[in-house]
Amino acid sequence: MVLIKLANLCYDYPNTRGLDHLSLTIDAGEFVCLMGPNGSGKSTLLRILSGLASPKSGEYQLHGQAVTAAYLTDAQQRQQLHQKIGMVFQNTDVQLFNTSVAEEVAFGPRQLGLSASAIEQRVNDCLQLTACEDLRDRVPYQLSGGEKKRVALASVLALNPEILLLDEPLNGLTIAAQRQMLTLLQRLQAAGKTIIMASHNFQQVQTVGQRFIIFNRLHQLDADMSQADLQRQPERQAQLMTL
Amino acid sequence: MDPKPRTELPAWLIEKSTSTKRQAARTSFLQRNQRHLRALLTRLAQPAPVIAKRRWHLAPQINLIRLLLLVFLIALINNVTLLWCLAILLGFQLLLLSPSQLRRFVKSWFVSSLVALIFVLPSYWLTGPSTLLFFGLKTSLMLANAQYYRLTTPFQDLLSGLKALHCPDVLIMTCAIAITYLRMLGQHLLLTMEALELRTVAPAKHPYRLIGAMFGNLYLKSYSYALELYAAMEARGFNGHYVRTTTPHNRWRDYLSLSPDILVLILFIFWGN
Repeated sequence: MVLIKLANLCYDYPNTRGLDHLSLTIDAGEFVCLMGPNGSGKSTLLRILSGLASPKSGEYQLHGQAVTAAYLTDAQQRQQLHQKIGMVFQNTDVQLFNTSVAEEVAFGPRQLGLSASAIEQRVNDCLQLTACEDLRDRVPYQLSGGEKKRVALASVLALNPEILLLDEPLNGLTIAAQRQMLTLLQRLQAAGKTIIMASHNFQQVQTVGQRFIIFNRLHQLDADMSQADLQRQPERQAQLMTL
Repeated sequence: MDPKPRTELPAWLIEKSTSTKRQAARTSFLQRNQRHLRALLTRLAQPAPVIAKRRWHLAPQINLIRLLLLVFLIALINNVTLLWCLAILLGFQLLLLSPSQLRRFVKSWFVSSLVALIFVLPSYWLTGPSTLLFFGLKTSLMLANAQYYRLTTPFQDLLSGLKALHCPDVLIMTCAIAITYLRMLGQHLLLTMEALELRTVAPAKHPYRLIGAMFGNLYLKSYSYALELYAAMEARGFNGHYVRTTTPHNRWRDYLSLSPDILVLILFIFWGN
């Protein structure tokens, strides 16, 4: 089932191009890795998908519904979109604004109108899944980079989004923590979530990604291939290793 | 993730999430203005405009002296002819700008003049329309010169100019950090607002508590960032003194560029009002 459809999508920053005529579809339940050099358009695409930015031209459809600038001006529609899509920023520093980790995770569920016990349950579950139980009463501001990444993921998971957008989520994590996070993401995907993860480190994601969307320096789609296709192309793998 | 995480997913996370349609609630002041605030922060967080090289590269201190002299003259002169001369002088300078720079100039000049007008308007009740018009024109002429300077002078030149005019290092450092830092803080606040928006799935019950938390966080971040920035500057040999960088420039050209302004000054002194 097609979940996301992009057609001829272009995005411009004030002095430079962000995305150049991007067309692709993403099915529900896929684990997609966005690969490419720095500044190739991975984060820009995630911003457009999350509704934080509107494309200059082209079409973005989610569940067959066009997500346009006009659609995003309506507060209710925007909030519904945000309930479907969760995003972990590259710089998780900006994402944590509450006074404690538990508050941070409870922020989303509290708005859903859940009961106090259901919120508590969600907070506990998310903290356990991301191994953040011991950070529960800590101030997010004082956490290390890796801890902030885990708390950010926990706070996004608490809303139970259908689509998870992750911008370089493994940066700053130890090898063991990277493995644990990837395992969690695989489980989430197995549970039906759609995972779209931007990364420039092929080694980290080569075993988990089902599909690889590769951008070039000109902000264009360079290749779109499955893991099996990529396995058959050692030269492409070598190219991704050097990103 | 050194402690072992839980492996099985909870039931609520496996269930397909249903987006809840809510009754249109009364939106708070923050929500109504969130988009405007974001647009404002986006403007603030934008990289500094690229300054096109002037045909005549003047010494930074001469540029600064010219600006100060012009502002000083406009503030003192009450003679319409002399003010007209200064406006023509500025007009000639504007002719050298590229169309995109000229557009930017007109836009920022218009906005700043409009803001200034709010402060000038009360004089209407004190002295009548002619004084208001005269005072308004003088203010907008001053702002036009300031905008021209901002548009054509790189930030580094401003610092070099201040240093050449023997401005105290503390003042230069404050100026340097404030200008670069303001952009960074704007960027940070913008991203925080975006993150907040992404996790806002219903109108916030306590929006002001949220604003308080956001700004508290911003204060803590800015404090630690300032300390880190100063430590990094020290590690790279900064000892509190700004070194003046000498740029090749033509001394005669510098004096020539100052001469029209000095001529107006002489006319003002001898011809007066």
